[in-house]
Amino acid sequence: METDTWPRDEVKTFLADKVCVKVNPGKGPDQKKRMDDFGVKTVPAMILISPEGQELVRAAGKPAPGAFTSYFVNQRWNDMIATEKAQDWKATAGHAFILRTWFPGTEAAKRADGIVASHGEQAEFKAALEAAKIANERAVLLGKANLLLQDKKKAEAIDAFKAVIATHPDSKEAEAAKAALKKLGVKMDAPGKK
Amino acid sequence: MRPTLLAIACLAAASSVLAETPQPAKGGIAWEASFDQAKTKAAGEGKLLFVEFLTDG
Repeated sequence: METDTWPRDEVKTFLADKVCVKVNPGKGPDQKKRMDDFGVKTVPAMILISPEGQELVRAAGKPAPGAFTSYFVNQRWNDMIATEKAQDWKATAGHAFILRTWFPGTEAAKRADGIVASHGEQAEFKAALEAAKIANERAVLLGKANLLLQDKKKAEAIDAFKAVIATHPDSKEAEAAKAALKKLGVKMDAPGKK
Repeated sequence: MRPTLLAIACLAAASSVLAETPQPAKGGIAWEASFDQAKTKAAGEGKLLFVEFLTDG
């Protein structure tokens, strides 16, 4: 990978807007555990994960250097075509959201645009597309709060966690924000209390 | 502070900074040093996290 894949311009462009990290099970039990947590049995392997923590695409093995980018995009494209054919609109909307959001400018994203244009008013499709968008927004909002905390900006992090609870009160992200605030020693007002 | 202690303190501080600084690979890709930090950064910046599982050699 170091000599034939990472130096390629299209690979660098593909990874430029992503956060990249290596996990090497030979470098300690925590790294081995991380590999086990993801169910990775053999290396090399690569996984793309959304801000929500959803695994989007997995490569078991090493993609051909010249097909690295298309390898990741095509998996989702194929999934979308299959669910569209099966008229599974909820799944199709999910795939379309991922392709448009995370792989913009690709042929697959353009195809996703076409599918959204064709089915965007179909109730189930529309609801699933909106749900995917909101789920991503929630995850990023919580992620921002966690990042502020990681950067030791405690006061700003507290405000950000409170914003998660205020804007998405019944979500798992709100529960995570409450737990984070509790850990920080912040007491939350009871509902309705001024 | 004695000079030796001061030098040790400086080295420790420098190591800490290096450990948290993304390490550019030969190919120009910036690799984060820690999975947990990378995961938090990706979520906070609204980006995808790319994880490569590998072994040495």
